[in-house]
Amino acid sequence: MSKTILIADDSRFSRKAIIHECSSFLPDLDYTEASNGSEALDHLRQKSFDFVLLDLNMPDMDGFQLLKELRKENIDANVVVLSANFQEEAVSRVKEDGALDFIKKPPRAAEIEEVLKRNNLI
Amino acid sequence: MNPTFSEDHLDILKETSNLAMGQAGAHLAEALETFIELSIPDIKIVESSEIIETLAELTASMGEVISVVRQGFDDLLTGEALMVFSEEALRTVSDLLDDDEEFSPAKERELLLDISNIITGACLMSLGSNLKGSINVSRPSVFCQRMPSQDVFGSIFAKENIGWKQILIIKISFNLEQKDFKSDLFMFLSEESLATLHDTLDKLLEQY
Repeated sequence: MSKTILIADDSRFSRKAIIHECSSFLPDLDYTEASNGSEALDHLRQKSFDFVLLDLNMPDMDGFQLLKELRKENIDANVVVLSANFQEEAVSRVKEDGALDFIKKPPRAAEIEEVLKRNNLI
Repeated sequence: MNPTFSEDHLDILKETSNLAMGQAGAHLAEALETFIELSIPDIKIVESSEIIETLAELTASMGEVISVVRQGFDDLLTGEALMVFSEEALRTVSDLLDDDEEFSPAKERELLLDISNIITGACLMSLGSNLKGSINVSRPSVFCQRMPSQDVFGSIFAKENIGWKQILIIKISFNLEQKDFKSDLFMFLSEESLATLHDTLDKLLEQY
């Protein structure tokens, strides 16, 4: 069965890389792309996704702000953060704000698959 | 003739710089035991005649007095890295480290070199590795301590010192939350490196 995924990342290259990596273990990928937190929030207000892969450093609304906004608006989303900002404090902050897990960039298929399985998202 | 960088080239370079920034941010956070605010890398290609004006704009938030550390780099890419600190940045670092030693110009100089070495080294090494190559970084040297910013860039980029017509600038900011500490890393790529960078980015773009 296909999984619906929202990928929020300001880099087009990074989104393509994430889609490429995820396609290796999720052949029927139904993905939506957002290039910043505001766009991601608009998508999440309109529909739910099986999970969200969220970057932290983005223009307009970053990943930290998006997580806070989701909580404020009571939007239930399975968010896994995929970011180059892997300071311990960043990881603990996003988890406190409701992210299920954290994956360090650059994306690697095996690691994404393991994290998604660990969180019962696939 | 210098190559033309498309939006895709700049996008992938920004993402590669983002990975380098993350690496450097983690090293700095560990060294200072505090959270480092990271920004989105800024990339510009400018004519050498515009460099001083561009740098004045890019460092406007730093205040009028800055300290600067220089480090050259070569191998896959060649160029010059400048680490720019706001006036009280190193005093803030000294306070954070809870150092018993009194804060002095000599202490500040030592911290300038140490912090620059952590950030510049981590960034350039990560940048090289993400571009599937390697970059050697020279030892840091303090260019100036607490000098008016308008004097600094004029002397670094004096007309007679620039051999390049075009310069690619990557700017990465590292700030401390609610603390008087601002720092910007500027990486200036030599004109000779632009073709190599263009080809390397092309290869990465072909991956997907």
